[in-house]
Parts: sequence; C-alpha cells; structure tokens
Amino acid sequence: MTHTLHRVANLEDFKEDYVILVMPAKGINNDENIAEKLKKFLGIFERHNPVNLGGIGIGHLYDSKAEQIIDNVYSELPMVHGVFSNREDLVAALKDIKDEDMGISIIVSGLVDSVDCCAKEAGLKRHSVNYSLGIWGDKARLPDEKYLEITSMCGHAMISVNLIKKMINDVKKGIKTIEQAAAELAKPCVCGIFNAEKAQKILEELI
Amino acid sequence: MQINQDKCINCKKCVPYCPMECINPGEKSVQIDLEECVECGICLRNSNCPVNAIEQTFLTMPRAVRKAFSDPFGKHENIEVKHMGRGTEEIKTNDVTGIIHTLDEAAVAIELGRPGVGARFRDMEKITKAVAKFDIVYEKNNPVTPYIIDKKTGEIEPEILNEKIMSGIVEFRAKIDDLAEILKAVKSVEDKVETVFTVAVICKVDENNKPSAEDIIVNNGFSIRAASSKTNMGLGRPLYEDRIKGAK
Repeated sequence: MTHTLHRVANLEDFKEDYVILVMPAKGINNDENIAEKLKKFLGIFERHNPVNLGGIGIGHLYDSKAEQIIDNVYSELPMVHGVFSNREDLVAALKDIKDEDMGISIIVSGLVDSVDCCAKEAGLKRHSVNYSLGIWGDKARLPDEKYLEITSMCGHAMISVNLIKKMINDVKKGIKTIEQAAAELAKPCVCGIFNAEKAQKILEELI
Repeated sequence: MQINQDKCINCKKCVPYCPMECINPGEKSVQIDLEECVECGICLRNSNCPVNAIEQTFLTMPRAVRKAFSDPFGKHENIEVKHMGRGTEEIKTNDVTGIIHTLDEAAVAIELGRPGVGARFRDMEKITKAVAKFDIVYEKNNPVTPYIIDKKTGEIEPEILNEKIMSGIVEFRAKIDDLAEILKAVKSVEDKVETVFTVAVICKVDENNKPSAEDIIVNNGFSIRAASSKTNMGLGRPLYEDRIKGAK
C-alpha cells in the first residue's frame, strides 16, 4: 500500500525523515530464500542508526530488540522497513544494499528531489516515482497540522489524536518523559515506519 | 469489536486509543459506537485492558469489509493474492512486475478516508463514477476493485455502500495523456465527498532521469517539490523487461 507516502511535514522536517521499504514481488522473486534475504536487509538497516525498523507481525524498535525482530521474519512477510533521520545514514544503507545485490525491490520515501540526490550518491538510478498530490476533500475534518504530522507517520492510521493529547497530558503531569511519550505513540504502528525522533520534536513544540 | 459489559470496570484506559473516537465513557462501562467503529482492532491490541473486556466479534458480510480494510492484520479474501493491508505492491515492485512499464501510461491511487478520518464506500463511489468515462484499467490485486461491480459506470456493490472503513484505495492505470483530465474529474467531485482523501500518481522515469508525469503534474498546479514521494530504485530482479524477453 501507500503507507509511507502521504506523511505530512514541513520542508525542514522532511529532511529528517526517510523510509526504506524492501518488498519482494509475490509469485516472482519471493522464493525459498526470501526470509534470509529480508533478515539481511534488516541487518543492514541496523548498522546505519535507524530510528525504527521492522515489518508487520515481526515487531519494531519500540516494542522489540532488533535481534528479536530479525528472528521473527517469516517467509510470507510482505515487506520490511528501515527509518532514518538523516541523508548520511540513508545513503550509507543504500550503498550497502546496492553492494549486496539481493535482487529485491527497494523503495525510498521522502522528498522527491532529496531522494533522487541520495540515490545518485549511492550510485543508483531511479526506476519509477510515486508522487503524493496531497490531501483533498473535506479538510475541515482533519486535526491541527502538528497532530497530523504525528498521525500521518502511520499510514494505517493507528495513532489517534486523543492518544497524542493523553501523552501531552502525561508529560505535563510528569508521568512520562517526552521520549517515553514519543515511544508510546510509536507502538500502535505495527509496520515499524513511525519516526519517534520526529514525534519527540513535535511533542516538544506542542507542549 | 465489543466491550464485554460484565467485565468492563470503566477505567477508560481504551478510550484515547480509538482513531475513530468511537469508544465512549458510560455510567458503568465504556461503550463502542458500532456505526462509527471500523473494526481496526487497535483498542484490543494496544490499550492493555486490565480485565480483557475488549473482544473481537465474528464478523459476517457486509460488516466484515470494515476489518479487512481497517485492521493492518485484516486479510482480503476477494482477491487472488489474499494479502494484508489496503493497497497493492504498486510502485514498490514496479521494476519487477512492470505494472507501469511504459512512459506513456501512469497509475493513479486515490485513498478515501486517509489520513485518519475514515470513509464509507458511498464516498468512494463518487470517485469511481467520476473517473468511469476514462479509458482506465483497475488494478486487479487491489481489494477495492472486485467491489466495483460495473467498471463502465463506477457502481460499487450496494450491500457495502454504507460500511465505514479506515481507508480504501481506488487504483487504476491510464494513458498519461488523460492524466490531467482525470485529475480534473476527481477535483470536480471533491466537495461532494464527505471525507478526506489522498491522491497519488505513479509513473516511470525516463533515460534522462525525468519522471514521465512530472510536467503534467506541475502544469496542473501541484507542488511536488515540497511533498512526500516514493521512489523505486530499480534493484529488483528479474527486471520486467528481462522477464518478458525470457517468456518469448
């Protein structure tokens, strides 16, 4: 799905938020070695300071250790993800992926030109692009932009505005630190694409 | 979903987790507004109910579509691949599958209900009817596609029109020359849709590293420089072109 595509952010914040997706093509290259390959990809992510990594049903860094997540990989897993907060780590991960040459499709989410620059730096050439043309329709039903910047980091929309409000209250009351609050918000995102570092900064602004 | 009224101790711990804001505190226990609940399961998975009062009920059609389109673990039984999630491999494996393999075609993905508002299929039908006049090919592995019972009119299965889901994607391929008119057609019904939706366009990148739909998108007033995107890096194997050659 398009679960990493429509993240809402300002230009500066986009520069601190990149997601690499690794997806086998079902019926074409998800062969008997696919689980081992996906584990290898997660291992590459782990080496390059990911903000998050994981996949549906295998856990993510806010509910599991990387070692456990990698152990949980199963052959029918649709894809794995790694989230990075700067270009340097993204490019380094892409270079490793290129060198390993495992033949599985690699996708990067982020600002289109920024991703293109990173691709060039890693020695890669773009194959195809998916552009977000934004949010349409009855936008009066949306929460305030800052809340949307947090909720839109989970494409499945599992993070509620009321949970953000509760976390803000918990921080104000001294029940949680901002870091703990951001980590709590990351938990419902079962794919592991939530950028809790970015969420922490937004929470600071909201508080 | 349901709250077991005999077990619930009214601690309200589950209330803030609901993205649809449909778990409401009552006098003695919390209640789920089933009309608004999309069966996403987040209350059951994440709120850590201290008395296990949150229960997944057995769902039959038409309500079962709610879970399939809203719970990330929900499976779609109406398509060959029976995958989890709401969309397809689309651009993600395009280097291998070749869903968009020429520069003169593009794919459009319109996700009703996103971000976080939810949608009913009757809103989705406003979009499918708006684009029905174009020469489009719906993505067969998208779980919405089988519910579009008449591709020529855009009519959606009447049984599910009032069902509410977290989101669902209308996904199709079209000639790139029709792209501007398709976007205009969607724009023309925007104010009739009673929810939000996101729009995405997928295209191939040419030999000079230029995405084939870029000019059309920019010339129609969309700012792509400040927006999110997904880029396929062309590392999947076998490439679509090689698979086709091998098959010949």
